[in-house]
Amino acid sequence: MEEPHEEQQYARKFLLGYLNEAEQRIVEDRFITDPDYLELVLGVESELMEDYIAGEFSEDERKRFEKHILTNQLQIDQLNLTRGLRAAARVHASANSPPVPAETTPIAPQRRRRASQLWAVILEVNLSAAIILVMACGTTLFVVWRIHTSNPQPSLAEELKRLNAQQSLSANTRYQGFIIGPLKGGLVRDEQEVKAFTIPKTEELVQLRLQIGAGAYQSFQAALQTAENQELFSLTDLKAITIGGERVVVIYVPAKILAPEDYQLRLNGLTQNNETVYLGRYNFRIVGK
Amino acid sequence: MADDEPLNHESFERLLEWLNPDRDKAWEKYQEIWERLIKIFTWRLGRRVEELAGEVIRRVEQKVPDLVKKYSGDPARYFYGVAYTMLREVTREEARFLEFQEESGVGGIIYPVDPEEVDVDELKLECLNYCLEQLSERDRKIILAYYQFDPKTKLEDRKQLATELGLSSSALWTRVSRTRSFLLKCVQSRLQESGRVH
Repeated sequence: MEEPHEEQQYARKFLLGYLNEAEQRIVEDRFITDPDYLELVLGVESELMEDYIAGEFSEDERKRFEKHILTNQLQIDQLNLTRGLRAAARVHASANSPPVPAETTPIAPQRRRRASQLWAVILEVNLSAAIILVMACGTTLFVVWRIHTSNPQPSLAEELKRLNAQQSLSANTRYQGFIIGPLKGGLVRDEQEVKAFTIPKTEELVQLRLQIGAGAYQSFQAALQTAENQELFSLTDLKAITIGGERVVVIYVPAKILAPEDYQLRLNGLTQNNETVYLGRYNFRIVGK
Repeated sequence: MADDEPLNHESFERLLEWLNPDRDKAWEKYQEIWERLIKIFTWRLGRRVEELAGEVIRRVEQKVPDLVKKYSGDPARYFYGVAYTMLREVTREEARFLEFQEESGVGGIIYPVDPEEVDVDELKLECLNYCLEQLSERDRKIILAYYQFDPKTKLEDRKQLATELGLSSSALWTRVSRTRSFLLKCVQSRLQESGRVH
């Protein structure tokens, strides 16, 4: 009996058409005699679909997958279901981050309270916890300092540009990364509730989804700021897309630049007459990773 | 095809009875067998899959009176055995056909589906959200947790999920697989209701 991992590798080869005729027959023989093996192959096929969606295949594997597995509408329906479930799981994970009502914890006062209570906290908790807290604050300050002193850091600017290139907003990339939103905008700072999000440590990419109204704008400009109005980056030439029947602007951000902190994203729309219209602020809070 | 009216209602009822005396369980089993037949033909041939799976069902349907008396064991295995025989028949036929094509200079016959068709449009996502709501809370949590993974740690994540649920990895997959089958049918049904049949 082969080890489970080897069996999965062999099933993978079978499904991608790497086996010769005799080897394929051996696999098919097992379907008949061993229903558990059939289940194993089904599971491997499902994983192949996940890998295909995640773009984890080599060029050869991708072609083989399309030739040997995407061979009929039923298979395409299965792939679309997998893609939809991945999207739903991400939205579910982000939606489960608890919202914090604005009236009880407006951003600016809360931050002041947090600062004034810092020493009280240090006194109350044990020393090791305080050290961890100071280190976390130091790390946050260092990250913000790194971003601002390089103004903007060339590699970050390039990465943001690449991530937000309009041609990348295809169906394949639409569901990549941890999704924050859709966020509702407001015209003044504290009029909206602030949603808090915990970005999974394993996520490298974050999508900020901003709800927009029905106005006809040719493009959008966005600037992400900390609660102290320190600008982390700005982007232009963003386009609106429709997701779940809602018009949104999607901004892709490397997860590494979003330290636990309060953020405001200011959005402008560019009209057909090239006039810039302020559309509002979108507040969110990162509470941990 | 699995939802189509069978050619002979009486013999189909006998087949269901053979699968399980409980009508609901029999139908569930039938759907499971159907889906696996589709996969077996898809993996080997990639086309005519519903036609061939339908032919397997018809052949077994005719044998049910004998099977009830003589066959013991999981009925699914008998279906897969018939599918296996049919695979051999079809591959032999196609080998002859290919030989003829090569001799006559006729071109290839494989036309995989255009991957461009692979997309999730917004309507389908809305349907999926609706169908997720139809699941029990536990099944919904399980399937969403199953698909909330990091590609780099997927295997470990799923092993941990299985452990937390008190299931083996294969039992977790079986459960997810059943939920997927329900969701796929539910989404297709919603699409039909909305006039968006694909």
